[in-house]
Amino acid sequence: MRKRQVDEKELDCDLIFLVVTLSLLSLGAIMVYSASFCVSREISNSGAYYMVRHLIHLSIGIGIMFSLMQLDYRKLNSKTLAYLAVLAGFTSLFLCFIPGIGVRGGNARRWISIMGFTFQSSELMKIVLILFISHFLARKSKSIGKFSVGVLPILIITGTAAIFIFLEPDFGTAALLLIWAMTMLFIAGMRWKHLFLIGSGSLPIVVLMLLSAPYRRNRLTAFLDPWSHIQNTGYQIVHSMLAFAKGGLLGVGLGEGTQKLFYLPAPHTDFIFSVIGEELGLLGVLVVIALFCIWIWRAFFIALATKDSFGFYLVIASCTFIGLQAIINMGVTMSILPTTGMALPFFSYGGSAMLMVSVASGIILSVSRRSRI
Amino acid sequence: MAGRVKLILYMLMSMLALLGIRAFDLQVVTNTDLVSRVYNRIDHTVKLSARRGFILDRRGQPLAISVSVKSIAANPRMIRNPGLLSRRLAKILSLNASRLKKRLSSRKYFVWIKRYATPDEVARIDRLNIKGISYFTETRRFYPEGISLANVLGIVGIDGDGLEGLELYYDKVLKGTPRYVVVEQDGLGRIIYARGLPKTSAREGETVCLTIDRHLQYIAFQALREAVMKNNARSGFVIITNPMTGEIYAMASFPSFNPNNLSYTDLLSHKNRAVVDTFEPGSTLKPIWVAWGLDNNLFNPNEKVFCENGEFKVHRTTIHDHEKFGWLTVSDVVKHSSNIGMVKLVSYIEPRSMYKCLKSFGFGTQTGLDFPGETNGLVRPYTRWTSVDRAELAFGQGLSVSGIQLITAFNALVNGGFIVRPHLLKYIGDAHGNIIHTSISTIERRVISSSTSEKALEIMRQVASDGGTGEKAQIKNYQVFGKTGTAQKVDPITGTYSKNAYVATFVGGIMDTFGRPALTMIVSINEPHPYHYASEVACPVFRKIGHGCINTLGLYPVLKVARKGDTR
Repeated sequence: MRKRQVDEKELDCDLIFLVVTLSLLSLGAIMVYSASFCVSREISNSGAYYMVRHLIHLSIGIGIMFSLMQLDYRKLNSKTLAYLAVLAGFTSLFLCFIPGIGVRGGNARRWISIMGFTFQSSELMKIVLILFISHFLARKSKSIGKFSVGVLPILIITGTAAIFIFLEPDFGTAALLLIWAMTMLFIAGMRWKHLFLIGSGSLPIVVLMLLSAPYRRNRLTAFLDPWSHIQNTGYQIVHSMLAFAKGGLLGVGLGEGTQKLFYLPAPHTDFIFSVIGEELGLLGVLVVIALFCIWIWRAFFIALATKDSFGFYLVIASCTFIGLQAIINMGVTMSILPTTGMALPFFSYGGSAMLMVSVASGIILSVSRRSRI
Repeated sequence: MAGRVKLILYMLMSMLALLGIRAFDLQVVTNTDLVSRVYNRIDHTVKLSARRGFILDRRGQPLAISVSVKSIAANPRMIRNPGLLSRRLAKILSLNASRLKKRLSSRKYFVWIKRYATPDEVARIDRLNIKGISYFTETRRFYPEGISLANVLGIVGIDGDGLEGLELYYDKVLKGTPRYVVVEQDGLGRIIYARGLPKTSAREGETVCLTIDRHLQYIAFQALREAVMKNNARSGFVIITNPMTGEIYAMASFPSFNPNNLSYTDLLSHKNRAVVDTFEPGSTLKPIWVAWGLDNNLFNPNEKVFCENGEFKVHRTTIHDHEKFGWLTVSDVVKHSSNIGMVKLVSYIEPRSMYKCLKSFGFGTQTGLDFPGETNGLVRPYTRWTSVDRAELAFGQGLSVSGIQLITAFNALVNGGFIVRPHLLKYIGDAHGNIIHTSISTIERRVISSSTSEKALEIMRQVASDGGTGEKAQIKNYQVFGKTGTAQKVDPITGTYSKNAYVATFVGGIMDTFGRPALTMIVSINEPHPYHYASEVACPVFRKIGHGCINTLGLYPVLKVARKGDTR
């Protein structure tokens, strides 16, 4: 009888949020197939090479999402778990730089390979930080006004993670991590004074880091004036814009796009939104943006309905992270922001990113089932 | 706190809205402008080469054809073990394994492994069944006559442009009009064929039919090669022409090269020596002086000159004959090729008239042959001649001519006095076999009268009769005419005439049944050792090729006038 009572307290999950999440994932799978077909043909005999892998990632991801939905998220609210997770996260970031375990892709060391599985450490770090910050803010919410007790520990941990990621190098993700941490601190009630201090203090450092590598400077100049650099650094961004332009109102039709044919770099990962723009047109683009809007709005709704502050921070942390990442990615493809290698959540091909998205969504769903408690 | 949460929510929402506005701007407002801006930068037309036309011989036999050949390529991104694969491929295709490995390890999507592989190689690699290897059908030029006509036909580059010889001269005709089609390309520049190619009218390459006779060419080349080898000579060439029309039946050079297996190592062997090389004609010039003198009534064929018993001083130079001659008639001077007699005969001709003679016979200017890189030769202006120069010109030293110039001048001697422009083209036909242009023989000018021509022919018939220097050119039952020439070469180091480097030349021809020249031929052997006399070196080659010509062209012997008592 007692067990039954507990079950009654658990509600159905937030149906709108679930439907939107699944819609984003399905649309993502379709677009990965379309965008990756020709790239797959170049590296294997089949056009479905990336598609098959994406579907495997997707099924694992949906499995994790539904399992997390069943799990009572409050079990995650433990100091030991939080700090162990941080330790694991830093270990995996550190391993990226160890030859033999760290895997190079292009000029970046973003992956580790363990027992045949390749994993992107920064994606794990995102989950770890969501968990840690939520735990920390829930516990220290009363002392958030004090810089050294409430703000500094978060700054140190996210800052260190950001430095590791910056060294990979992955400037975009590092910057995203810091912006997101500030957002979380702001929501938790950090003082305006502290916000401005940190903001004005870190700005020169960020600018310096931005200009420290030639390729980042090139990306910046290409962003500012892509047409003068169309032959080299501006090439990607011009072809991304061209994809949107060719798409027009209704798109050229699913699978009919041509910019994915080796004009766009990474059409199935970083530039999948351009493929959507070309093949599904403004209509498709607006549908995707709307789905993200509903998803974020619904997550905030769940967060505000929750009485438990750990649950609240978990949802806000997951949702702002994914939301910001999606906005940055879409902004890059439409040349509102300079190019950074960042995936579009729910859409881009990539197992680690898929894992991060499904864990975040699963946690939000788990909170939504227990919002009355 | 709720206020701050809402602030963040609104910020996220407005950023998403901004993205929507940007998308609207890109996709609906500025889209056409943007598309044209990018598209104007990219060349969307590709050139599709037409099939290169064939080259045929005068009987329509193929001399150069385009055939489909497989080339092997690979996608290095799909190749798992470049080291092992490159070793296996290198063994089958006889390539350099380490260089191949480098190519297969690249990050490219496409590399050539071997262009123009043999069907056997393709089959053996296909049997390995390797992922990432693909085959492309390309057209390749094939020359059925191989080495024998290579210097004339020339070569075609790997991208289908004529680079040398007739392939270069008639490149525009053979190439046809390439199609330019507007296509979509992928980011690597490859054409997207998924939607098919637009249809445009293309003009296929046209067929070039030559005056060359494949059989005569083969016979001439084989005989030439044999002669160059046997006489330890440096090189040689043969031209066979029709003296009436200027058609070239055969044009052989040795050394030559195999056009079906190019290596580009020995470019000297690519020279068409009959057209681009010059040499001093030596005694082969004598009949021209004689004809000029006869035509200008300076002497007559039976006039006698004293040949000084083999030694004659002109200023400080002594001129020698190869035998001691006394009094010789004009025609005997040519028959025995007496230098001294010739010097004396030429002294009747004014220097200005001599110069005019050389110029009107075409020396010092191109003949107009349809072949690239024809040489002008060299005739110095008569104002600069010394008396020794004049004497040497009498026996063909001190000027340089090309083989084609010499045979063209010689043709004028025997065809009634016309300089007929030599040519290799018979007709141009379109891809369907219709003739669209026929080459018509062109008379450049008349240099001597027909009666002088007949006299010159008779004198040269004497050369090839018993006791003449061209004795060894005789062909049984046929009437042969011609003139030998053994010219000293200028030593490139000392700048004086060399004692052991000679050019042995025979210019001659064969009469048809009615006593008219049926064909003319020049045989020139460069630096033969140890025998250097044209009568020993060049005449036997003429006779050998002449026999082949008689069979191939079906020439009948000269008619015989029946005598009393003849029963058969």
